[in-house]
Order: sequence, then C-alpha cells, then structure tokens
Amino acid sequence: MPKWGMVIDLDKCTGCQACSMACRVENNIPFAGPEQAEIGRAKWWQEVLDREVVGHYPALEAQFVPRPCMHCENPPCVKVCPVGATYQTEDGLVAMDYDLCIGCRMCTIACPYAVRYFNWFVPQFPVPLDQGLNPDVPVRPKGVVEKCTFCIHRLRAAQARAEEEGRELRDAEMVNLPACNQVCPAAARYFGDLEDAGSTVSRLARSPRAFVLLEELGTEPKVYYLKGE
Amino acid sequence: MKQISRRTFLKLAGVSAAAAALYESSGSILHALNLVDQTTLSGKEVWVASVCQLCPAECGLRVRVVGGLAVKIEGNLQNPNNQGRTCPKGQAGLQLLYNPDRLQTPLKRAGERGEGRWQAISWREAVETVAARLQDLRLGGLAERIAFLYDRPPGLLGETIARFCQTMGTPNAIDACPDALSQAVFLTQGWASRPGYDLDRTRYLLSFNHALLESAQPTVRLLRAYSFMRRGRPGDRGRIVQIEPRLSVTAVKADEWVPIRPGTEGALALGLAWVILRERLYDHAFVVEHCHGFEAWSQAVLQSYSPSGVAALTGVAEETIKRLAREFAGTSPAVAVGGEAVDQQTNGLVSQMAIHSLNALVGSIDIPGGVVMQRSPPLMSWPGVVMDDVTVQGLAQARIDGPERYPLAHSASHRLPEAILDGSPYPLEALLLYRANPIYDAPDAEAWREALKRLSLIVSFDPFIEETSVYADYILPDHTFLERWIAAPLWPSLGFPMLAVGQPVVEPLNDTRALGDVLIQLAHQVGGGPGASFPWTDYAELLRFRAGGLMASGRGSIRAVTADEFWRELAARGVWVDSSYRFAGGDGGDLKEWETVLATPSGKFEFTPQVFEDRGISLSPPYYAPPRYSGAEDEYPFYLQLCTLMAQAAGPGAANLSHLHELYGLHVKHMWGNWVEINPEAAHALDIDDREEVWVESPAGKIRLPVRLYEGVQPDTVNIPAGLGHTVGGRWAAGVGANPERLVSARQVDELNGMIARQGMRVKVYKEEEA
Repeated sequence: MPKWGMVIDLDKCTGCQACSMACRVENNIPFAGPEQAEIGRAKWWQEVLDREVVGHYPALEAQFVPRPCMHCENPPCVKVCPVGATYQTEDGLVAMDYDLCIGCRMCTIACPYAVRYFNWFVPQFPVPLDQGLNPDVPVRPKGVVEKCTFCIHRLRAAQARAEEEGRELRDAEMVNLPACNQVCPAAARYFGDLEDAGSTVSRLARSPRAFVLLEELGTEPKVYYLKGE
Repeated sequence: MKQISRRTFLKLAGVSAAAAALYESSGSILHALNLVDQTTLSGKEVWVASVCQLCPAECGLRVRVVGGLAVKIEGNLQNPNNQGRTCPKGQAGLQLLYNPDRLQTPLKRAGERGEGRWQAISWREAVETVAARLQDLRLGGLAERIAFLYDRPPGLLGETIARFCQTMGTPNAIDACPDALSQAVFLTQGWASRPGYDLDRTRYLLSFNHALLESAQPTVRLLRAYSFMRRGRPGDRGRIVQIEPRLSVTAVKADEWVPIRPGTEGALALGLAWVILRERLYDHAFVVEHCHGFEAWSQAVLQSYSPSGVAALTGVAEETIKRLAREFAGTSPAVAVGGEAVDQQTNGLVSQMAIHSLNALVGSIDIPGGVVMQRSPPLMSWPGVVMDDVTVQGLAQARIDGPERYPLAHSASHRLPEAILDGSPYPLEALLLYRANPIYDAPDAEAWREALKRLSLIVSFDPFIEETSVYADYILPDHTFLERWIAAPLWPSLGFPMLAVGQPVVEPLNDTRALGDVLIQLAHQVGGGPGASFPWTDYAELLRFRAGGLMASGRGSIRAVTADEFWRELAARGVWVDSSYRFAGGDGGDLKEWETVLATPSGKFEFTPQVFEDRGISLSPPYYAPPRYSGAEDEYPFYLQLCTLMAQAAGPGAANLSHLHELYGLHVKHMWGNWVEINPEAAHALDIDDREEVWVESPAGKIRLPVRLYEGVQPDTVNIPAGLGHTVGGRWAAGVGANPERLVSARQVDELNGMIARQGMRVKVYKEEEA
C-alpha cells in the first residue's frame, strides 16, 4: 500500500503563492472577502507562511514556507474527532467525511499546523463565477471543517486510469497530481509514494537537507521540507 | 477508459452517497456537481490551448473545459516560456472570464460625460457609428486628429493597432508604456528590444532593482530560472545579489541584499566599473574586438566614479562596492540586469546604460550564460498599406503628444492632456483607448479629465468600466482572453523565436467582441484604403495569415504539408518554437552573429553611442546624471518607492479578481488593500503604529492608507504597492486600497526619453491630527 507524501524544496521555492491559488481554484474554495479575511477566515488549504522577518535593518532574514496538510501518520485531528468524520484512508491520506462532520472544530484546535478551516457561511460564488467551479470537487456546506486533500480526486482519477491500463502509477505522473505540485513555477514541490524506495519523494525525504515541521510532536508528517542553503 | 459516474467518483473521493445527496439539495452552490451529472469525468472534457493575458509575460496555457465551461487553467507544457506552470495570477484567470462585473454589451453614453449613465446598443450600431465618426474626420482631411492610446497590448495586437492607425491616416498610435532598458540596448547594441538573459547558465546575477521573483517578465520563466540556478546544476550554485531599496521577495531569496538610495543604481554600476577598470578585471579581448568608445568611457568613469564617491551617492559601503565588482568580474558568466524601477527615475535611461555597460565590460554579451538578443518568430510580413490621399496627408502630420521634444522618445503620452487643452499642434478630436487607463495610472488625473471633455469622440474597447472609460462616448467591450484568438511572441528571455497561440476556449459569455475583430470591422466599414488594408474577414484569419510565415520558414517544431494542417496543429499545441539560439561569442560561438547582435553604426558595443551624436545630444561619457526628486527633503523627508507584487495582475479587470486580493501582501500578511511600509524606527519617531491609517503626501497629491511597519525598508524611504485603489472597475476593485499614482508628478520626466519618473517622488507621512 502506498503512503502518499510530499517534499517541498525551500531553496527552490520563490514564495510566489501559485500553489495556494492553484489549490483554491482546483478545490472550489470561495474567497472570504475583506471583513472575514481580516479576522483570519480566508481559507487557504495550501498557504505560504512567512516566517517573521528576523533582525533589524539591514541585517534581516526571512523565509517562505508553503504549508499544505501534513497528512500525518499519527494525526492529532483524527484522534479528537468525536464522530469519526476525519479519518485516515488506507493509503495514509487524512480525509474528511463532510456528511459526518458536526462542526465542533476539535480537529481545528488539535492540528498543530493550522491546516483546518471551518465553514462559517454557505460558500458564495457570485454568478457567473460559479461556472468556473471544478466539477470533480464538491463544494463543502456551511458548518463543516475542510482541509487539503492532497487533491485526492486527481490521485484517484490517475489511479483509475492506471488500473484501466493495467499498470502501476508512474513516478513521472506525480508532477500532475496535487494542483499545487502541478503549478509550481520553480518546480520546488514533489509528490509520490514514500513507501517506494525508488520514488523521487522517498529519495528526497532521505536527503540530509530534509526535515519535517514540529517533529517533536510525534505527528509524523508526510510532508518533508528541504532546507535552504 | 471506463467512464466514472459522478456517484462512483464521489465514493472514490471519500465522499458518501448520502453526502452527495445532501449537497444536491442545497441548491445553487452545487451547480458544479450538476455538471458532473451532465457529463462524466472522463467524458466531454477537453483541454484547449490559450495564452495568459494577466501580465505581459503571456504564458502558454491549457484550459480544462468540461461541458462547455472552463473549469481549470494550467500551464502549457510545450511552451518553453512557462513549461507547464503558471504564477498565481494565471491560476485566477477564470475569475476574469466569469467575472460578474464584465460589460455585457456595447454601450453608448446616456448622460453627461463621466456621469456613468449608459444605454446598451447593438454591435451593428456601435461599429457603424464609430466608423462613421472616424470617416467624417478622414473625409474632412483631419485623420491625424484621431489618436489611439494603448498600454502593452498583448501579442500581435500592438502591431494590428499600429496598422489600423496607419491605414486611417493618423500618426497617433501612442504606447502609454515605453521602457528605458530597450533604449539602452538600442543605444549600445543597435537592437531595439529588451535583452534576454541566459540565466540557466548564469553563475552571477547582479540585479539592480530587478523584480526577478515578483513583477518582472517573463514571470514564470524567471522563477524557474531562479530555481534552476539554485538546484538545477549540482555543484554550480549561482549567486544572486539584489540591489534594491526594499527587502522584496527577491531580496529575501537572494544570496545578498544590498540596500541602495533610490535612483542611484546607475551610479553604483559605474562605481563597480571603476573597480573593474582600475584593477584591470575587464574582458580585454571583448573590449578590443567588439567595443566602441571604450577609452573615452573608461577614462570618464575612472575620473569621476571612485568607490568612495559612489558610496556617498548611493549609500552602499565602499568595501561592498569593491567586493561586488571583484565578484562580478571574477565569476563568469555574470550578468547585470536593470529592473523597471530603474527605468522609472529621471535618470532611467542613463542608469540602464551604465548597468548594461557592465555586461560588455566583462564580455557577457551574447555568450552562454550572458545577455542574449530575443529573436522574433518569422511571421509573414504585413502586406503594404493601401495609401490614399487622406492617409498620406494625415501621416505627414506631427504627433499630437510631441515625442520630438525629447531626443529619444517614441511616445510621450503624459503630454496628451496639455496637447489636447492647448489644441497644439492641432486640436485632437477622437481618442480610442485599449488597456490604457490614464485617469487611474497617469499623473495629473485632473488635467486628463479636463482634456477628455474637449474631445468630440472617446471610444474604449475595454471589457470593464474603468476610471478613463467612464468618460467614453462608446464602449465596445473586448472579450476576455479565454474567449478570443491570441498570438504572442516570447517576451525577451530565452533568445530563440517562439509564437504562442491561443484560441477561444469557451463561447463568449456576453455580447462582446475581440478588439482584433472590431478593428477589422471598423476598417471594412470605413472602406477605401483602410478596408483594403485589412483583407481578412476576422482576427483569426489575420493571425493565420501571419503565422503562415512560420510554415514557410521551414523551421521550428511544427511540420505540416498544408496550411490548414499547420494552423490546426499550431492551435492544438498552442505554441511554435524553434529552440536553437546561436551565440556569437563564447566557445564555439558563431562569429557571423556579431553583426546581428551588435547592429550599431560601428558594428560594435558602443560605450559612447553614436546615436547621441547623430541626434545632437551633448552628453559626455559616462552620461550618468543623478536622479531628480520632486519635493524638498526638509518638507518631504521620505523617498517613495512604488512596488508591484506577485499577486498584482495587469489590464482591465485585473484588480477585480477577488482571489488575488487574499494573497496580496505575503510578507506583511495584508489582504484586501495596500499599505505604506515604514521602517519601525522611522514610524516610532512619528508616533505611528502598525496598521494605523495615515496620510502620505507628495507635492503632487495625497492618499490615505494603513501603515505596515517593516524592517525591510530603509529609514529614509517608504514603499507602497501599486495597482489597487480603483474608484470603479467592479465590486472587488472599487474602493479597495489607495492609488499611489496620485502621488506622482507629471513634471517628473526623464528628459532623454520623455518617460514619467514615477519612482522619483518624495513624500511626508502624517496622522490626521497633524495635518
């Protein structure tokens, strides 16, 4: 069984946020608007965090860190969900059953990476913006929590295609899988099977430059970062 | 492949059937799901090639169309410009197509000019009326009284507009957005375009305020080149030095940030040249064989630009100047690149010349890893214009904007209000506008408003109502880019010729028409010379005619037997490319190419341009002049720097894309609006806190916007992101942010090329009670 993971090379990343925007349009995430954005409710399943600028002019350091869901092997969000709405798939994705979600937001608090967003409102796509919605991804209703799926719909479609053709998914196909991965202008992101020792992600995850966020929490993220210079 | 039904798919996606039923019951938001019912995931899905028009880089796109609706934009893998990727603006492109504030039909003014009352009219009426008004002017022998103002029209539209003007008999095809870098290259290399840089092989990139990772073009290409310099060549990590007043994203990601006093980049370049000359680190062979005027130029540099003097001018330490010069000259191939912010100073042209001269000094002209000259695709030449008496007489008239007032100007659009108000050299009657919005982005909006009132006809072709088109008599709205044909050569970068082609990916949403089609219809309606000069039924046929040159050349990535086959293949792939670039220099260089890349009168790189002499420009080497700032230092203590962020798209409707507002200010976590960045110590001295609203005032005007404290700004400088602060243009454009162009003075001009020096302002910052 594969374990899907991602590697993000911070040395190559330019902080352009194409990943964030690709995620937003691929996954039918509505914009929040100025008032809701102001109180932190703009939803970015994939968000580029910027580490505070450190130092004083002109000796300054800053860093941009793209942050999708870590799809932890040991996910705190799953443990706290009282109704089993958030769960792990067999191949290690942390997924949501929106139908079961009661909107208690325990998962949102439990997630140390702040990847989960609660839908405070019915999502709005003022006509005719709704015509551009991705037919492969359901729009989530008000009152549930939503998050990065590693573009499970793209992955499952690719798997179905491979199965149809009687073959395994190829490493070379991974570039087109999560929308954030596909779009990255700097080609700084990699997706694939961490269980497959020959895959690009598996090789990069073993690089001396590799690290995970908040490793000390024992969440075992499946998103690895490669350090900058 | 087996078709996946929607229900099966939702199951695969981890969504239960019950949940799907729930969504279906919740109404309009589930429009998207209904689509899946109509088709299937594997069914009526097509990917159609297009070309992005949200900035001038014009990346190749593939658009996913399901059931006749465009549902996702991705990059075109075959296009070497963006190699299958896009920037965030491109990803938001569907928000332009499906924008709720697009114009629905042609409009005719119903109230007073600028009142904003409109009456919908038919295309037939629109085209006939506008053509008749233009023809009246022509028949009256007043064709020159028509002007067409445009700002970076995408692809081949600029040439089409210029031809339209020529056939109508007006010299007034006016580009609102000239640039100084291409002029610097013209003066030194005789080549009238921006240069490209072979960054995949560059080992040292000295960026003078070049927004490599933000607003510079071609964006995605530059981001990829950055990444390749970092990790694409194991063991050969390129070094990037960002010289800029602001800690931009580029400065953050560079190996070194060198803050500099705004407008003194050219002086720093000459300071580096001083060290390279004094220490004899320059490329002797290149200078001897391929340079003109080196002696005079180098003596002048050595006389006046010692590191200590330059340190005083620029604020860059003497030791840093020496070190950068040694690194630059000692790491081959190295390139020096001047950004748009350098253009936009009163000394923009001479600064770009100084920066570009560094490339010649170290022999980086036309070598692998150095400067390259962007080749054009071998398009079919335009057929001759059919001239009639009206055309001949009109074209013989002076330009309305008077570019001849500046020795090297091609256009001087900022002079239009004055020329119109003075009626000199003749009264202007008709103004046609495309992607140009001077009331928003040119200095002195009030003069523009007054001037527009004097005209008898104003026609806008933009798909949104904008600050300037509010004053139009007719709006003939363009399609958005996903609804029309596009052909776009490569923005100067990779050097080899390329043509990206886009086609309508969906049926037009509204009753709009592509400008290219409308120009042809207007020409046909006018008839005579103009009609005969556009022997095509529509813009697609025009493009197909011009693309015929690609097939005839026998070069490039597409081979076809028939013209039909070639055009079909070109549209399907979305790009034609001939990916070979023959360097003149370097190992194995083709010496014949020197004639092409050094097309000056001397056939050499001219450190002392002969064009200066020819045009009676009495400047002496090395030509640098210090920047002039508007506003006295004691009253206006801060330099103002306008920056353009990654999430700032360009063109009509660009500020009305709601998604982009929500990733606007990454480094200060600011969304939905812009701000003024102030150094915390400077703000403290003014008793101003983070997020507090302040006035920023220059001698030209004042705006109110929130402060963001930012360590990455020099204590004597403030930065404002430009592109927001519209008053009209849609629900997400109007009233969001403040427009810093209001702080720019129309008198701040580079006297050599007539460009507005929008970075040359000083400002003061105060809270309300101090006003």
